[in-house]
Amino acid sequence: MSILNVYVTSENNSTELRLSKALTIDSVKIKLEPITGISSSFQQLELYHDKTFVTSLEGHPQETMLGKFPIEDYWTINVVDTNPSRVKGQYNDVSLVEKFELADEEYEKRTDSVLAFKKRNNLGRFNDAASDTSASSAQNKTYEDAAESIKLGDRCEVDVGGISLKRRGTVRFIGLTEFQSGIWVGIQYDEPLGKNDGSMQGVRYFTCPPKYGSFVRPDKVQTGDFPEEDLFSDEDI
Amino acid sequence: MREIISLHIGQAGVQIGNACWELYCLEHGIGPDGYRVQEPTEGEFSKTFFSESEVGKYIPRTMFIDLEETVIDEVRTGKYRTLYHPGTMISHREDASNNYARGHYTVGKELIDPIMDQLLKLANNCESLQGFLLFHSFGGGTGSGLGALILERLDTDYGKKSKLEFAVYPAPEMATSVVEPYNSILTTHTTLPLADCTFMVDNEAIYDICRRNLDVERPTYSNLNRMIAQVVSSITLSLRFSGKLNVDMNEFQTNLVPYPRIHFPLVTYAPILSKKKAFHEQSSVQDITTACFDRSNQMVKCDPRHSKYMACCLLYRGDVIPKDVNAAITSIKTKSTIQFVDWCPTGFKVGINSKEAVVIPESEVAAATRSVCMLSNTTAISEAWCRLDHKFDLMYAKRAFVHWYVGEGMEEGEFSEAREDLAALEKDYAEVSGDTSANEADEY
Repeated sequence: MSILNVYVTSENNSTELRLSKALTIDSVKIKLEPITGISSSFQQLELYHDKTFVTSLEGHPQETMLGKFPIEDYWTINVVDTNPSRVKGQYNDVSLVEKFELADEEYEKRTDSVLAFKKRNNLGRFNDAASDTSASSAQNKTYEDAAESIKLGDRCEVDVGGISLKRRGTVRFIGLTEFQSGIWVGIQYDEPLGKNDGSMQGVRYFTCPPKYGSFVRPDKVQTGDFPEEDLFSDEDI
Repeated sequence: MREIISLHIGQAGVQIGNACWELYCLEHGIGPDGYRVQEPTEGEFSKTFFSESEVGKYIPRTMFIDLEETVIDEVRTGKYRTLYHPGTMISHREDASNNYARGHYTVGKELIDPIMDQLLKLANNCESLQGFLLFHSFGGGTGSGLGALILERLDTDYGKKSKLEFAVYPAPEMATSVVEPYNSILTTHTTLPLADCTFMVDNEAIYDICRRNLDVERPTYSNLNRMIAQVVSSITLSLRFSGKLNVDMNEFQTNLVPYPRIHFPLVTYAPILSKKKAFHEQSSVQDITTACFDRSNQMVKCDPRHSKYMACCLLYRGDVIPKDVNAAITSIKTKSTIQFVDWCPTGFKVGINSKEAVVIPESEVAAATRSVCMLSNTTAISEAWCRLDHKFDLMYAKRAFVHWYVGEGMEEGEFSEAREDLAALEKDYAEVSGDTSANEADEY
């Protein structure tokens, strides 16, 4: 009994399959049912070598074995569905049905869920003391230290790292806010590269035109002699 | 000695097993007949994976299991035929016809007792058994059904021993079989509370890597399996060889799995170079570390850019010094936007093992002087469940092929129960990344 490795393709699948040359075409078709999802009575088998059509495996006596055909390792059997009532994409076009989602109430009832685990252990948003942890108070201390050298009206350069460029502006606010614990510095940029107009979540800390204002942590602010950058400076003219 | 027993189940499991043990033998200097061709190197602990007979023959602590004979017959007659203990190869005459219910109930039931008996012999031969590695596919009938049945029995018979899985997961675009979503979801539901950690590989992702990096136009399973073996070798390396900064498997697992259900780390491997290209390219620690964050090197197709990380483990092997690793990680931290969830701050964990990667002679993959395997627990992997769940819904709406399963004695209720559990898993992942209360933005 000799085994062939062949590719089996259909509109529903693409796979590599081991088939015995001693199998009859009918028993090959039965093997292909759960793979292709096509009922054996509607399967039409075509043999390909790479992308070239070699022969049809149809129209031979029932007991014809796979080995009777000129088939070799890593050739392809393509399975065509001849069922007239088949629905195109019935097993792979997911737009045909809505995806099942578990309702929130059902999810909340489960005891083995991540949600239940977080609740049990006061993690994430279930941790009331999150802002008072020693780690964040140490962080606040660094912010306070960094803020000491910053004065209102100072010229400055802001670098939050990542992909954003360094931006210049004027310090307009230093202190605690209602949107997040610890010290924040309010900046009015020279250009509209900010996020707000000096107010956050309905509370005003300073006033500037929209998109010119931002709040950053003190350690992201460097004060000093940072004049406004002239877009049309000498070298451009 | 903390021994590990590997179980290779179904066609995919057995074929990957074959590739893995061939590679292990080369790495440990053991010939195809089980006798040493090289003296053991210092710091090598081959006995975790091999037992040694009185005459110095090394025998893999493994079992090859399939419901049909032909795949295992190839191992029985192949180059490594005398390596394995014949009793550890168990096959049957009837296959699972791509049906989870046949693997898990009808046909699998006939085979499970002989399997567990043989396994007991292997376990009794260990001084201090650490755990099991299961290799199987989620889509096939034997891999999904019998794989789940074996995990259930391992759980009852061996309780707290760790159970890690390497699983071939259905690829996003092209299914290997139409019933793959059913099999995968049924097996995931059964094994979710049983497996401690599951490393998934999707064939499409590996297929693409083979085509792109190795110039193999139409990769075969044997191409894919050799690549999977390289990854498995890297992950199991710390169990087989001691190293400068060796991090034990248990330690990685503790780090990687913050909550039992969220146990599917994303695997990324670099470099994967063909023997032709390897002459021209020399990869630095920086290069291979950066490559780990390139989606094209992932073993599962998903997009981690907008995801959250729970943990990130980097397993380096070969000529790698800690200083270079630190520099590479620092640069990754500044360049890319890797966001960790705030409620389990584990960050990066690094292991370095000086044992270089080896390749089997027939492989297209070049042996690299240094390589890295990254295991990251990221919420991005839930994409894989999402698309599979939806495919399940598409078929289940019409109860397509359900009669094949019911015909093998399965109850229809198991389908809806499994699907609900997977929907809960999706919600679990959403819950992981959901809140960022303490994770502030840089700027407001």
